[in-house]
Amino acid sequence: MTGIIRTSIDIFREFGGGYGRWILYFAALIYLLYALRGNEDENEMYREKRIIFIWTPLVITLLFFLPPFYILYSKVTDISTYYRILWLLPSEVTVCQAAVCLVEKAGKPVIKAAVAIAACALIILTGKYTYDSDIASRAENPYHLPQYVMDICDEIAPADGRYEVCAVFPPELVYYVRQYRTDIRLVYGREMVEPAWAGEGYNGVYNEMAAPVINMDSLLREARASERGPVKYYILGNEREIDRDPREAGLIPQAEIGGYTVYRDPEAEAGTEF
Amino acid sequence: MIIFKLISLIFWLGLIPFGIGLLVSLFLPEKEISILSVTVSGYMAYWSLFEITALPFLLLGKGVPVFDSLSAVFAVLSAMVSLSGYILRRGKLRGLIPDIRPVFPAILSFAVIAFILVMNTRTAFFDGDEAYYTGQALAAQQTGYLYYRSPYTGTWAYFDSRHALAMLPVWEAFIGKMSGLHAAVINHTVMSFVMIPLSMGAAALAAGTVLKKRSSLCIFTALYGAALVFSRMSIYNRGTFLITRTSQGKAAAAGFFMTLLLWLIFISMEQYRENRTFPLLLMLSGPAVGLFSSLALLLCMMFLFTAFALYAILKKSLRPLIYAGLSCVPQFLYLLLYMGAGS
Repeated sequence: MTGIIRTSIDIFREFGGGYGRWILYFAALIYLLYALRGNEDENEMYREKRIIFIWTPLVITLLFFLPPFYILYSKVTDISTYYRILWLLPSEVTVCQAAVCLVEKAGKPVIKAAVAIAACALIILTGKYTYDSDIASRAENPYHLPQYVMDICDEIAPADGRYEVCAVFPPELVYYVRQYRTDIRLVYGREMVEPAWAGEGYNGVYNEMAAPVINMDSLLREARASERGPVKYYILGNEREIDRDPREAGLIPQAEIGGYTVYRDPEAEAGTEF
Repeated sequence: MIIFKLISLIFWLGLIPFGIGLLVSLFLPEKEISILSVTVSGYMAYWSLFEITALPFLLLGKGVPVFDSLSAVFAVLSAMVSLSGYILRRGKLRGLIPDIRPVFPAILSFAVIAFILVMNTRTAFFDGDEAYYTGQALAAQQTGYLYYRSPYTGTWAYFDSRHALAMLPVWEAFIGKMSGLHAAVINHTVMSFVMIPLSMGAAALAAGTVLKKRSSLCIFTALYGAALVFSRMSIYNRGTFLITRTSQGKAAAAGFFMTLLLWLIFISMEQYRENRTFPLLLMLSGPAVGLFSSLALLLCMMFLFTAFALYAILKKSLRPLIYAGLSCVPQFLYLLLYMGAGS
């Protein structure tokens, strides 16, 4: 039981990125408890508002830390999503509402502005700029896909819309291919590459492509035997360590794009029909 | 030509949901009707209508390319519903023209929204789940199959019952088909212009239950925008999901629907007080959250029942809980389908 409570506390802390935003949120809750009061005629309405913005979130927070609730959740769905219960807490709405209530109560316009700026500063200081993260990059096109991956796909895609081709892409590029074209089939995709799913399946082609040094003979043997083939194209990084030149293995270089070389296997058929 | 694509987007992402919202406004209290509530509730109903229309195609059309048929049926249905909204509520249109005075707070709030939209347009976020969601949307758009080919490899796959009922990618593919734009462009660029303003609108509606002055709501919107922009102290929270995974159902559920739920519950409690026994607005919202995420559907039911349980204690009556149960009839049906689809 204490292990579950400790896990819940860890999730709670990680969700908020520490405790700064949580302190702000619960301070706002306490303030709204005071601010959401009306006269006798309005009491019913204000009680409803307190139920929605204060009491329901507090009950949900309590449930979140209760071990029996954790156990029930794990039986209903994937426990790795437990943090999503915290999505039900309207923390941003509550903090901003409380801040604006304070602004409304302030007297002169200068003080109103000062309160609003202070609230904004607190929000910024307890947060982190989203557009500066390690997963953010400048978009090269409206697809928000790496342009060189799109160029590789356009290079190998069948000209005739009725057919599709099969290709082997490096692990780092498989995320993008099927977001751009459905006429390119992959021997392996994200299901083999995702770290969280490691060990959940076997794919000989992926094993060769992910090896420290690619063994060309093994790669071609696995790919030519793959049920998902016939594999017509191999995309290999120019900096990638390969035991011998793919051309010696019979592959024909077709194009060089974005640091990758596209090789064609002359033994593969033209394509398979949709 | 790009101008035709733009006109098409304005039609399917602007005029159609707004018309549907005019029809939904029949169920809203008079004082809650505004251009914001009409737009937001219109989108909620638009998505609900899509989920209800698409489910039979999904479940009965297994292994058959049904997307084109689904698109044709939904296009006609949504256009008819929207048109009836414009016809029945044409007298309301003039009253919906917004008054943006005082100007400075309005400019501030629009500037924050514009900043987020510009930044989302020029920033590509890497997320592994996009291989799934955009992959499924593109597969629907280009091959016609719904959840029958692996989005990762393109090979034939088993029917993905866990995710298939949450058909936001298919709706995105529909918008792509109607506008002539690639599904990845819809997901990674266009959806920001839908989801971010709608989410901030839902937050403003929720805040509007407490804050009554227009200037206060504008300041709220500006602060809320700042909270979203500075939300990456964690990869798990709603703001991060909304900004970095805008087109995904779980981001829509977290950023849009769970915020809108606060307003929907408030309206429903008000209507309950006025002895309206049928929670139409909440019932209408059920299929929309199912479109986004099956888990979010469960979580929203949890919030709803908790709120109405507390309301029942306040009222010293079980009737609010029955009211909440009625409002979740679409959700219960969805859950039955979910369990049946998985077996």
